Amino acid sequence: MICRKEEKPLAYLLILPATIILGVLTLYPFGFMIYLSVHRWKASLSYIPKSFVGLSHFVRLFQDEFFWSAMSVTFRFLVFVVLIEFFLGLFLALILSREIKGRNLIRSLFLLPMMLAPVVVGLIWRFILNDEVGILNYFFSLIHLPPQSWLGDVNTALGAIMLVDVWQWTPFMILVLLAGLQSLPDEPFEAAKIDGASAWQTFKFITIPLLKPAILIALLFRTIDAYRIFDIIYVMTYGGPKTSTETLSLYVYRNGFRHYDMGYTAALSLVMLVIIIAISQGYIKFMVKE
Amino acid sequence: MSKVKVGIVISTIFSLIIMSSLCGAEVSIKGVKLVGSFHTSPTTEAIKKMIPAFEAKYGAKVSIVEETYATMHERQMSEFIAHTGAYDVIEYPYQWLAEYASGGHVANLYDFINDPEVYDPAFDMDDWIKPVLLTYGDWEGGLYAIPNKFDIYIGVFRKDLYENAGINPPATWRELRVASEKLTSGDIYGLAIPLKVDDPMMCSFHPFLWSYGGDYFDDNKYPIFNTESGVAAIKTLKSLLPYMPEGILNWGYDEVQTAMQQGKIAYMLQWHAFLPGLQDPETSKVVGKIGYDLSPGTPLCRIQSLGGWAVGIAADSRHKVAAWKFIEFIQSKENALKFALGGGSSARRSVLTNPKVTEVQPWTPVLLKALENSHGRPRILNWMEVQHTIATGFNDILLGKIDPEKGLNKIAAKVYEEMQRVGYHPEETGPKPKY
Repeated sequence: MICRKEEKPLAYLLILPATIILGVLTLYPFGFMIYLSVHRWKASLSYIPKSFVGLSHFVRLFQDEFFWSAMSVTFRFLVFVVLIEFFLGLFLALILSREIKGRNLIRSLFLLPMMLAPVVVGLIWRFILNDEVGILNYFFSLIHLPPQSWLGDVNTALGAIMLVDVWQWTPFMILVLLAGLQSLPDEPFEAAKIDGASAWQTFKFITIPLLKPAILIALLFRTIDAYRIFDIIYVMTYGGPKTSTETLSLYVYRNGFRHYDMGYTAALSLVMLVIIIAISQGYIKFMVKE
Repeated sequence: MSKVKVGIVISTIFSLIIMSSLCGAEVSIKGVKLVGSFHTSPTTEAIKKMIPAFEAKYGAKVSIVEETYATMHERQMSEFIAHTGAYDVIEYPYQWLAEYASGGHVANLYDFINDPEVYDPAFDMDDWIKPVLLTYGDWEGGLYAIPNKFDIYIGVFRKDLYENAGINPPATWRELRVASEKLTSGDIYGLAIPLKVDDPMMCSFHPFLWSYGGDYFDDNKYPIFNTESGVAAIKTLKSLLPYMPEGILNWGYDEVQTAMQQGKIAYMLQWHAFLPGLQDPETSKVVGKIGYDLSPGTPLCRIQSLGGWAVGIAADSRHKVAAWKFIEFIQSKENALKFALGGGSSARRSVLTNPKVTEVQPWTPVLLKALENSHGRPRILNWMEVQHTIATGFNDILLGKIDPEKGLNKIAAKVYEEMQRVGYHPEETGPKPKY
């Protein structure tokens, strides 16, 4: 809608409160983060003054082994959980889209994990996976298998965290994909049936292409969410043992709130932001193209 | 009443007023609400039991916020940086002292100790074992903490297994290796040393490094753990791995303690504060079978690692005097003795030399001997960061991912940069180590 000339001041006035709130809550912190990323500031030692260091934090970041380790953990985690959740979610959504007995009850049960706070989920699973009193090791002992230190072993800790994430967030995939499946038109399926298409052909050439928008939305949301995972890991392993479960979020947190190296933390956050914007843009471009 | 009697009464009243003010009994903290940040531990449980008596005596209220070791630093530091004054009394491990004291986050306790209106002479500062008091609380001439839980890393062994095999408790790392090799059989491992990355790895490495004559930094905070002594120390530690349980690089103090309690290991390095757990028949299968000794060393020396927790006052506290009275109360001679008789650990000489305490804690003579030659962790501004870097690097060396010389140089190069970043000048000693 085009404003008349005399309405313009009113329009500016109306958007002013929202602009101020947005400025205070988003733009100012963002600007401060950029400012900090080019300054050295050790918050715990206030007698050391803030000093301008240019791009040295970014240079340091690319030489920092812990950063690359966190990057590797983050992307391994992201790729595995998003793929597993997607395929599992699609499979279960296809089952739940059919007329089966107790469908509504099963749907509600599937959604339960998603409703729990990640901190609660982390605590529950920490008990389940505890090597001394955990129920998982109890079941292992019943079949004469040695107990495992699921969260204490560098070889199993990340896998255990992935399992928990899959448990909690597969229902989200189910929900989005099920909604997508139920909104598909009947006609193409009827036409395929008349043409004698097999179930696999129908799935491959009709269901999946029609479901693409829902799939992309589900993948985009889960990718962003998995990329910034923090609370479950914080509660379950705190990034350890060693750095085996230290994702980028945890690494940013470690630098910020254990070492109080605020300048470097800001630089890390900025890089993290750029990466996720690039990933999201990739998804969005793909969606638009489709 | 004669004039003489009146004079006596008046002078007595004046004397009492003067004496009571000198004894510090005049300080009133009635109605004050103190908040303490303490580590979740049996020590804190014991302190919590003392609170009703403190509240009854002074009319002040105390609430304790408990934190795990993993989260404690960030919680305390966040409050310090924001100057919230959320905590009055704070417990912290002494390796954070440099950061806390230099950053101005904790109060100098001499302000209270030297104030006759506040300090109670019965607290008896001279009773503290001096090296422990200084390690825990002294920073550039000020005193920023009092020992709250005293800890030494000692050797703990299965007397029965060692006696049956005709082996004496090992005095050197070499003897430990020989004994561990001999005692590793079936379900029993000869040895377990906590080697999980961060604090356990570092505390276990200290006695190795120091006994080879090495150290972490020189006076300019230039890293020197990559010298010959450091290489010998890490190689020796690595040579002991075959006699330890699988996955030992993921074991902290608790895992090692549990294995000892279950009778699965013949020897462990452990903080002495954990030892009461070995005497409890409900949790331990090795009651009465345990012997205690100094950590082993080299033929050159056996240097013991000093750990533990200290208690101080937050600089932003609005109730510093009340906070001091609380510290004075929980760490009084009387309460320290009670605490030790209940299985706790105190760095008061009167407690450690008390025969009743020795009866309850048979390892006490070892502690007194250990104190003759003990070192504390490096007290630097960024220990949390440096510790993580070193321990992560050690893990790679012990896993065989990198050879010890190259690995130590690589860690030293990283630590060099970390020291520069907080304002130290290692470059005054030399250039960044190469690897």
